[in-house]
Amino acid sequence: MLSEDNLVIAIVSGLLGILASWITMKYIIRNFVRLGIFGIDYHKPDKPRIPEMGGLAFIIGVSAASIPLLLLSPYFTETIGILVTVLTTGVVGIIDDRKKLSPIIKPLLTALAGVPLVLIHPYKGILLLPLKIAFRIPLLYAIIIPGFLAVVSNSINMFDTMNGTATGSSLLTLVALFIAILLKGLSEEVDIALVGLIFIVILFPLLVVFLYNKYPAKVFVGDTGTLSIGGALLAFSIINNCEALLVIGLLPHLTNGFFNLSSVGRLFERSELNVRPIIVSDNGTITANIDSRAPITLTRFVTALGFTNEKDIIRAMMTLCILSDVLVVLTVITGLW
Amino acid sequence: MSKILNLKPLILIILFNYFVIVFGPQVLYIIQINIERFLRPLAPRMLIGFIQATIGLVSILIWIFIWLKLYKYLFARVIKNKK
Repeated sequence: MLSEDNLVIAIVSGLLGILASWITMKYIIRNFVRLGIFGIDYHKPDKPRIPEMGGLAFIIGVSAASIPLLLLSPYFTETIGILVTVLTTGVVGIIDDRKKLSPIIKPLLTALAGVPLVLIHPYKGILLLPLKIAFRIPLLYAIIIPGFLAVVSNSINMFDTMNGTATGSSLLTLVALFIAILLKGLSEEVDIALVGLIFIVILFPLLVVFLYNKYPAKVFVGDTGTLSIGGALLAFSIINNCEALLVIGLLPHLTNGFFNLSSVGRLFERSELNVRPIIVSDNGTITANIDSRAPITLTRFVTALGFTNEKDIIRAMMTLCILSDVLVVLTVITGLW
Repeated sequence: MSKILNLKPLILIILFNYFVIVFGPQVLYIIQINIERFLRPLAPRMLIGFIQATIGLVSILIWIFIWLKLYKYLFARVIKNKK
């Protein structure tokens, strides 16, 4: 139910989220290159050094935005579910950014990061599929969550190939899920206050991170950011029982992740690749590598389709994300979910 | 706009997966119900469950196989045109 109290909590939470993530981001941009925490933007002709681990701003932003909800709202369990998932996946990301984790340990740790969410239990344990098929599987559902978290977080991580693609696409998916749940609320009973409040907790920190990470990036979010954003999206979808919609919204990410793995034939780290999927020339033109040993990533596919500069490639990838997010909303409008 | 049309192969893959996700569970559900109806008088409950689980798993593998083949085929075609 929407009340004046909830509106005040939403405003305070939103402001805290923006402020905390913005201050953190400013600190990261000012100090991280000097501290040696940076990456090279290989897609730019001058190969600039960009501060890494910008995802810390998202984690701190979500933590700050959660405080009013934890103290004043009746949604303690749901808020702590989001917060703990962001923190645990964030810790895995921080470890990976500082000491490269092996390609097998990383997904295992991300899956393990889902265990607190299972224990906090802010969900119904019903798997709601399209065409109103519902499975009440509380035990199986609890087992699925860690695996699902590993898939979602790592597919968003693998999508972070160009400036702002991971953050921008996650932002679009979050908004699409929110709209879809609101539309669902027109025909069925949905706790709009809960949906709105946890949406705000994630939205504003993600927006701040995106504004600094979009082309031309002033900061890289790193695994800290991509894994924790994946954690936030998964927790949001599980609390609102819209996992199927999340899968539809992340179709470009899942396709990219799936073909990365299938063309290499195993779990791998980007740095392990001997043959790069794309070739960046000195003037910044990007072309698809025609070597058959190169992994068939989404970026390689997009460049093969004639998108040869970074801005165009980002636009193409975002167009695919917009398409899948429109499908999320259409699924609800047409009554398929 | 013309550039967006270049994305046709990838849009096709997304739409293919979308329709599988939306209609797949319903199709699988109908198949499972019919297996149950057909086999109930003939086989023990555990065997029916095993057959249903196997068919469910095989369906998912077929989906992944078609997804993989479609992606590789479309990519190979794009690269061939490029050459």
